Amino acid sequence: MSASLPDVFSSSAAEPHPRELPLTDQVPAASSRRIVALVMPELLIELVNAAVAGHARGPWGVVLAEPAEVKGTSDEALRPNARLDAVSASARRCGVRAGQTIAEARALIAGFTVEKLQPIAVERALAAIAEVALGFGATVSVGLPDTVWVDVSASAHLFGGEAALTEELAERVRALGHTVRVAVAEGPALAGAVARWALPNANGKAFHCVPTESAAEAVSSLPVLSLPLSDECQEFLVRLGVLTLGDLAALPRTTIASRLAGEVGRALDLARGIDPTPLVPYQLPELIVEEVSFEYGLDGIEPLLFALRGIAARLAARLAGRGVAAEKLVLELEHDRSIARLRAGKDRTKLVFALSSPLTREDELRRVVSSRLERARLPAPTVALRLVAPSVVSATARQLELGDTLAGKTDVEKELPLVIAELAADVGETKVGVLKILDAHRLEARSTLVPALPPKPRSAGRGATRRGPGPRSATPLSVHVSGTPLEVVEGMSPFDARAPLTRLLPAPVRFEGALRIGATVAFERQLFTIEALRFEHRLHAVEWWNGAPVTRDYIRVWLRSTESLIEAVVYVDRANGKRYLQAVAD
Amino acid sequence: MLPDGGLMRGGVVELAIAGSGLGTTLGLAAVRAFQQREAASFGTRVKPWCAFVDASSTLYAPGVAASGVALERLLVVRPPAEAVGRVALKLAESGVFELVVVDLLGTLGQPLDFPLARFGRVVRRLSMAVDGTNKSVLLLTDVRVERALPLPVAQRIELTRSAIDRLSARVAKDRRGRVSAQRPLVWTRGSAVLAPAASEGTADVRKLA
Repeated sequence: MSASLPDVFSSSAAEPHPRELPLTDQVPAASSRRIVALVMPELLIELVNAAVAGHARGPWGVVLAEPAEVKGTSDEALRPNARLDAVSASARRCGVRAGQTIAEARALIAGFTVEKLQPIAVERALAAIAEVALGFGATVSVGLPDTVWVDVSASAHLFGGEAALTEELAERVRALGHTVRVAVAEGPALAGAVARWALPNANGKAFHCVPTESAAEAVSSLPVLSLPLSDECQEFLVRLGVLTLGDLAALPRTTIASRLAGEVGRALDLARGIDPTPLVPYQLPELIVEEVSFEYGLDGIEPLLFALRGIAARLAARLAGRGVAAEKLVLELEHDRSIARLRAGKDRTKLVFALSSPLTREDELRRVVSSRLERARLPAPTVALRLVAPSVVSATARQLELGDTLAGKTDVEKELPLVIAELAADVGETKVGVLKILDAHRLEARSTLVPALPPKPRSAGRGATRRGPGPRSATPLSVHVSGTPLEVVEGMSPFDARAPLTRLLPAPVRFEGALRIGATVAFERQLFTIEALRFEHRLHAVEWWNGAPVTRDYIRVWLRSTESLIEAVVYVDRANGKRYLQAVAD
Repeated sequence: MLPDGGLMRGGVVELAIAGSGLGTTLGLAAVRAFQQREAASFGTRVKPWCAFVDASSTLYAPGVAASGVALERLLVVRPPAEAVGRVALKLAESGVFELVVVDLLGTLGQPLDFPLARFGRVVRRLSMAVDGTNKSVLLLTDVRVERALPLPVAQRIELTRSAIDRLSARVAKDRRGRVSAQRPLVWTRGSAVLAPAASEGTADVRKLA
């Protein structure tokens, strides 16, 4: 099959210069190992651009800080002999290349500027990509500064083949804001070399595939510089005139073994399309954190809502890659310290969202968080935004209902958890739910608000705790009732069987008047006359185990005003004789 | 008694009550009717969701259950007074709830000092959210509260409780002009005063309007 190189590679000008390869998209034998390499050639540039977005600048380059600098001296000026790890497109057009020193670059371009990038930022970016890749294969590996590998030996058929898998994977990585090159081969070294060095074509192919059975032929045109060999070894081969892997494969192993020492075996194997390099599994961090920082403090909420879209999308991609959903979110806003101190405010704002139902999609996460963020009062401009998913559970997939979708119906099962989460974020978790009847004698202890949706079983994530059985449900009561016998159904007190008490006051209101027909009482600057009253029942020494047993007489009263008639329940505290209005049947 | 033969669908209905007598009971009766009617119309035992915006935080579970409402299918939200409009809009715009009851009345001992003057804009947005659907929004208001302009609701029903078992009601406003004079009603527990109107009939009328 002829060479097939995708047009998805949007950075054809990036270094190193790619070579055209006789590659195919033939599906390999099922038994062979298949590794996808994702190479992000512009990663360092993209990270710096994201950190200082919106600032026009001339040609520039990036130097990765050394670990020693990270600890204490990261702010010191870069030395002229420091080597550039990446350069911008405008610098490349002027002839500057990665690997040159800063002094060399400034000799070519007078206004050349350099940004220092912390390795931790690169590691975080690669970790985010690795988590996305986890959704496509069981084992993922990360290679600094710009490569992620994923083993798709057993999963490619689930996505409709290697072509469909790599196309979808590349699309996901692009959604994170990265330029990406993709290749599939027998091992990580070969796949990485092909992804980095192969020439992109615009013939509609979505990926580079190196078939196992013809790998030697497929990689024969790659330069020897693409092999993971030492600089001395590569220089030696180039001096000999061995420029491509094809040239190297043609050399007899016994002849060059004495000259290349230990590296020869691996180099020749790779040149012949054999790559047994093991894939070192990437260890997932426990906490899923996405953050963005700003060079200057952002005033107001609108820019933050815009930045939230990006970090919510990245968090959702990572959740999807792990196959989990967030059941709690924390949004941390870091403010400009000096302004916060000047205004006597805190330099951090923390918003916690306990979700009634685990969420995983970007729009869902964003809706919940933005519903509170857009009403937040911030003490100072914001310099960083951090979204954390501290508690996750397994995400449950649900089958789509085509009929409902076509009919334009609201998907209640999907929408309800989202609405509840939004409301909980807005007014408070304890203010949203469904009512539940509890087993108690006192009226005020018989009603509570509980979460509307049952908790999902926890099968992933940390902090898995066994939930308690919750409040006891009501059982039939045996209460002495005066007057006619009442029908008492399960969960109902004699009160409920008469005109139901629909309202219970949060705190009883003192009833300042005589409890007799015709007496006048005042509530809310309004006069009422007691039109009728009836003794309901008595509680005697209820809840004695609390140390303050309740002894009350409950009386139902009908209060008449000039405009209305209200039915209410008053109780007399037998310990002190005081009367309180407690519930209303309105 | 109601022009559509029940509570209007696809619109915002205001139930203006003198004092706080019977407002909650009627709101819950409407919820029960919607739950039962919708479950029956779809031939399922699963009742649809309704919502109750309970700004006074006084809704009492045993009383709600005794009113025939399925507690597990009634979402209760207890926002502060300043968030009532926002919460009601979220509930109505979600399209999840067959009926959203918004209590702007409170109760004896826990009244809501709610400025209705600023609620007109919210009512318009609520109307847009449920327009063309089978869902309804029921506002419980106090008939005595003075307001510069009437709320832009589709229907306004004024209720007065003259005795324990007697109500008088009138349709004070209707978007198709079907207002009525004060009419006495006999009130007993469980009477279907606010059952939902038949969905197909109202849909046709709505198109004509």
